[in-house]
Amino acid sequence: MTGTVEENKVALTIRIGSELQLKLTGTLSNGALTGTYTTIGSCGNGDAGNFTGQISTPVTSTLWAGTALFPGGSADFTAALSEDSAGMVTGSLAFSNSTCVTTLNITGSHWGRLVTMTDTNGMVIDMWGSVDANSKTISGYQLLGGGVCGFDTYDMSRP
Amino acid sequence: MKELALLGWLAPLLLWAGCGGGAASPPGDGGNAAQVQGNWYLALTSTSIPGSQGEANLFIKQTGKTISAPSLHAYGAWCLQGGRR
Repeated sequence: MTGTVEENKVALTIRIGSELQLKLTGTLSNGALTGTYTTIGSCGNGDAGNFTGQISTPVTSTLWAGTALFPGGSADFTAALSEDSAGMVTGSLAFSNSTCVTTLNITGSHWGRLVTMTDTNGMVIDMWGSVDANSKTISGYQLLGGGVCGFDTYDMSRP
Repeated sequence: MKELALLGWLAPLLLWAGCGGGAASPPGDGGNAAQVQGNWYLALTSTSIPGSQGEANLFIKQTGKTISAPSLHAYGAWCLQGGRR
């Protein structure tokens, strides 16, 4: 994606391969971006419409708490996450009642309302999910223990 | 072709795109640019295909008036049209 900002006018061009370009032009007002989009390329087929954009606050907090479900049970955990100025996430998760996982150090990313987290010691944990507009809750799917614990959902929240 | 477009929207395709960053802007050109750097969620609603929607998740980097996203996640189905993925 490339683009420009001129005062409160924002123009974005999102290129996906050589087959699709999304061109968005919008106006920033009170922290929200609204405008129109058009498509160019064989995939876009001339589609056009409107868009709204909202910024998603960083997930940085030491007060995350959540529950991961497994096929045969569940595990509670607390988490401390830190997000840098480029949307990269690092931190740790501590599970209190799991036979599969205990404490994990993670690295990941936060793009828009998507979060991914992977154990830094090697594919012990994969968690991907959606963040709410205020980055107070994350919910999604996890593959804890590289699948040993099973594949299921998780939810976490912070004050 | 319209039917293909509609089919594309109805069966969303996950698109991951790695995009090149924008050129650095000249020093001092950011005086009249609003700050947009950060995590953005864009919700798209088609007016040419009623009822169709898409979204884009991206981290916008800003240098003056120039913005870029080294990577992004777009959710839509445009590339299903014509059987293309």
